[in-house]
Amino acid sequence: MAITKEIIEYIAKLARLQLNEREQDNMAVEIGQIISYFDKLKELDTSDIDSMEFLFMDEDTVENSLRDDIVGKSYDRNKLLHPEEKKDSEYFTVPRVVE
Amino acid sequence: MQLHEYTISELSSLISKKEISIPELTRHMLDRIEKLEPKLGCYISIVEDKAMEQAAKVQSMLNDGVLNSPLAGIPMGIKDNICTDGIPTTCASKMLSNFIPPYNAYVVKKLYDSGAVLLGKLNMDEFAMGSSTESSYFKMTKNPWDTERVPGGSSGGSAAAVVAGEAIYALGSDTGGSIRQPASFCGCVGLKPTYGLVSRFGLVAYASSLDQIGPITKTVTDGTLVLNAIAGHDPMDLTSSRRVQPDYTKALINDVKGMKIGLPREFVDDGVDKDVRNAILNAVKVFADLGAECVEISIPVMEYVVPAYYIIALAEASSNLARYDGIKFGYRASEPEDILDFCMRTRSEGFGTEVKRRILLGTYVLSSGYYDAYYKKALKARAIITREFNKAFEKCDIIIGPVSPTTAYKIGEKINDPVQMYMEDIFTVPVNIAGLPAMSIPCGFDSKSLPIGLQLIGKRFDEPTIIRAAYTFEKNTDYHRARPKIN
Repeated sequence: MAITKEIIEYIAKLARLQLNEREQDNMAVEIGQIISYFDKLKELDTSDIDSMEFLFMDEDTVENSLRDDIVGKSYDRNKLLHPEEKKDSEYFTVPRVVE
Repeated sequence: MQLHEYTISELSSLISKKEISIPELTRHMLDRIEKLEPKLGCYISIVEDKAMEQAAKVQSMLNDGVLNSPLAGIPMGIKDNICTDGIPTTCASKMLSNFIPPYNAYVVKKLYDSGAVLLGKLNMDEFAMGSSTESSYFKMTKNPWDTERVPGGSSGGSAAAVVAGEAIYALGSDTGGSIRQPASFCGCVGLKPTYGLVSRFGLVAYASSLDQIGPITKTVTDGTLVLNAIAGHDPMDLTSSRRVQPDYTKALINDVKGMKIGLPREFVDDGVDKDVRNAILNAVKVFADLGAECVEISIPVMEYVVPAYYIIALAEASSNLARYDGIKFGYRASEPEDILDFCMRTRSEGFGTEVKRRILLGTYVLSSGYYDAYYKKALKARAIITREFNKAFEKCDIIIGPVSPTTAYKIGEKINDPVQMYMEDIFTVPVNIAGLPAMSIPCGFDSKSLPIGLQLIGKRFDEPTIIRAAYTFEKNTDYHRARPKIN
């Protein structure tokens, strides 16, 4: 299926990306080429195969790993705040979301 | 011989015999970096003061006898997607150009505990998305063998730094070949451990089911020393293995007699450059002469590995990179109209073209109506590919082949053809799909005198067998001794 500019516009919106006209044109062509290459996978017979949603189910790596609920050390607030926040600010600031 | 030309094991012995001091070695490396950086561009940031401070501290700990590790005092570099407390970690992106992590990645903590001296953070493709280090927001890294060529990627800065003597060793990360391919293009040793062997805590996520951290070094012995230091269970990474980890240096044995080495016929077909193919066939002969039993095998699903890999990797990437909204860390768009405008402009201004392309592709294959046709199909292909490799390992102990179908290409030569670039990952991506360990070691040069890498692939958690084979190859050949003439 051809990847149109409308499809690019739609997925860009889903991905919270803004593309200008030129970027939209280029992406439609390039992503179209890549998707038609991905379509190669359709040849592969997977009718009796379960999808591998979790890696290496039979291994020790997926054992449920829960820690005891113990209070740990917290990070220093100033180190965690965005560098553009005012020094000694207590919060992250975002544009107004409630009118 | 100058200090930057030595290996970890050689320097470690010079340090313990007090023939050199750690501050002296660190100073030499910083001078070397200053001299070569204008030509090569391996580093995004250099931490000169911190390095000299750490060097003095480790020296006094050694003098007091409270530290005993082969990595003590050895100067190294870390790929800039691995978090370092108080030191910028940019992922070579404008998006994280102002990000200073408040903590160390597990591997960084382990290296510091071993007395490592950090010189700086190494260049890479933006968010590790690329195979040439050309998508870095900050700079181009050049291949030390020919500065008109790419060093490979995405850990291009790491591989170039090690081979040029701007670091004694480096850490890289490998999602689809990002340690092995640059090691191959630059003529050094790159090890991608089994998925789960090395903690990903503090590694900026690209594709979480594929990412692994590993060493880039001059020799197999050095890679093994670094692996010993960074492997192990970490409760902060849910996928970290609880297996008791062996001492990998016990696998440094110069003997492959009776070892079964499989060469898949798909790994030496017409798609591989003639010089690369000849070097691989020569490596097979080296192993056979040393008493290994070389068998021809087949992995018939090879034509599907690249599409399956990219669908899975990009789906995971689109979801992992959703966190960059400008609120808690990273680049922020100025004067936003509202929250949506803030988020959209932050992401559009902060990410480069290749990252946007991959986010869009990942979003597409996960979107309603395409999820089953692409993402779910790729997960089924993943099960088949994993099964095929397990089946191949019934006939052999390790699988060998090329790392890349070509040697290092010219800067700018392939960047505008994403499909072609993706296809060249064919020999590295199946290893990540199946969670296997693999190593790239030097095995020859092409007609342009550019290094060729040999890939050794092992069974899950069977690093010792690939280390043993790689070590034996290295002990019986001279390819790893060649160094680019760059000064």
